[in-house]
Amino acid sequence: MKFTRNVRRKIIQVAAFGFTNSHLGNFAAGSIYKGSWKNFCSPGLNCYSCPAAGFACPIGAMQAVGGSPKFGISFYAVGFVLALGVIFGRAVCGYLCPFGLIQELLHKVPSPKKRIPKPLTYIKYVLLAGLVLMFPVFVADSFGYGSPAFCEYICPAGTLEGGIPLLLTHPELRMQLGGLFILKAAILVLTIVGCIVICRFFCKVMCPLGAIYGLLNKVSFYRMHVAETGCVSCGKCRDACPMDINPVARPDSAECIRCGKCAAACPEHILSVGFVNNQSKLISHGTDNS
Amino acid sequence: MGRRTFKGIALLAVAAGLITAGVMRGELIVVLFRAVHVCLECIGLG
Amino acid sequence: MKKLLMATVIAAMCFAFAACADSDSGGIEEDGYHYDIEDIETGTDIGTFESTDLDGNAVTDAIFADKDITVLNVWATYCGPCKEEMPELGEWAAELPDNVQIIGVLTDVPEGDAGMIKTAKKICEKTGVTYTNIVCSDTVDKMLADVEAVPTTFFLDSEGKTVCAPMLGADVEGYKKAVSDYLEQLK
Repeated sequence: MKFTRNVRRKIIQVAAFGFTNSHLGNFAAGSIYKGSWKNFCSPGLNCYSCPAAGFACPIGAMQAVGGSPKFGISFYAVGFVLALGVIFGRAVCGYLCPFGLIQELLHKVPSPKKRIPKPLTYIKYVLLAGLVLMFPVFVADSFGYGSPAFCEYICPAGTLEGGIPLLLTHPELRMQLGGLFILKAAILVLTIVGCIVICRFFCKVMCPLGAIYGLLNKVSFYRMHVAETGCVSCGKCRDACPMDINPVARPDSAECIRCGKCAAACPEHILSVGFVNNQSKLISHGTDNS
Repeated sequence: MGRRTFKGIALLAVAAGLITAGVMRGELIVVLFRAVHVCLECIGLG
Repeated sequence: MKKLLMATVIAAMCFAFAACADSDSGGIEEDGYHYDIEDIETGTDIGTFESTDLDGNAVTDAIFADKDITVLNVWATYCGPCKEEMPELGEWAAELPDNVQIIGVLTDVPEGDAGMIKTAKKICEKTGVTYTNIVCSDTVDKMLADVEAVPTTFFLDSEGKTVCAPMLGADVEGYKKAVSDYLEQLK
């Protein structure tokens, strides 16, 4: 079996999932890791209320600090996400995010597969600006504390990884459930169905973290490389792309998760993914058409 | 290519500054406290 | 098919490795005080602690000794439901008989943090809470090692042992019932 890029990527995804959620023993009792590693954020979206989680969620951290009367915005969480985004761009989504792996596994469930209209991808920027950044600051209680609106009202990763395990292990919690949980459960079901039918539905439409990393695709060190000549406009890269991009036209698209499926599909070998452009290596292995 | 790298390095420097500023003004403990004792309403469990 | 099999094997190995590598839940295990909230049955000792209240007075687990039952309400300044139940708790505290007390424990106010103490005091003033509230110290953190979420409320007898399962989530009616059930039992 060949260690293609996609196989290597899956291995990295699984390892990242395990690294981010290493405290598997906690699921039995529904207890949460309380050690000092939770000072630090994980690169991808992973709820800190997940029993196995060993780190804090960067989006959760942004809202927690932003909603605190002392602060207003989290320099730490923003700086962390900015640094990772400059280095990796949305490759974090493609290789390191646990919820990204969950979505890809969901997409393998047999069903009709569809693509989504591009305008829907702008919803995640609204969620980022509105619920993650502004709501905790401007909608506060009488003591100055704002709610983490994205975590509280939307995030399906939190419902799946944290809410459900806690409810399964703490029967006394079930009596506390109300309309809020019904809303979140509905959003989770919608997300799961969405991910089965549409590849990475949550990433495309809802993820505020992906929104930030995507914006940094234009400057990221880990990136797409496109040869200046050689494209025969066959469209195979666009057909292979799970994120509905035309890689040759828009290699720095904010939707690109650097999975490399386009590069593997290109018959002329003019695309590559990485820190360094290794097209020359590809061409020397393929037929030289020049 | 050079311009892109330059922009990236400049942003990395900004990021490093932001992280330092955040740590110095005590943001880490806020993150830690939230992450180890979960506010039930904040994760949608009323 | 082979790819899927290989991926599953690798996934299983990663999980197995991670599970073996981590043998603790990050809770604190010392002197046998590590317990899971599910295992808390009647009679579990909540442990000893030393700390201060919001006014700087020293508080230890001796505070449980003079009352038949103590309602230990664990809360945090960032927790909405905790703050919402406090006016009701404050009112209830005023009507309590002499053998019952309510004590609050804050999970996000470290001893000596003047800023956070001020915030906590402001919250107590605004919600009409006058009962003792204890801040975090190392021993208090140990006592709270298995509190996963806030608000969590313990019901302790005069020896600091639980008289029933702790309650997760804000439910003052539920606390009142737990207290009156226990007092009935005592008669």
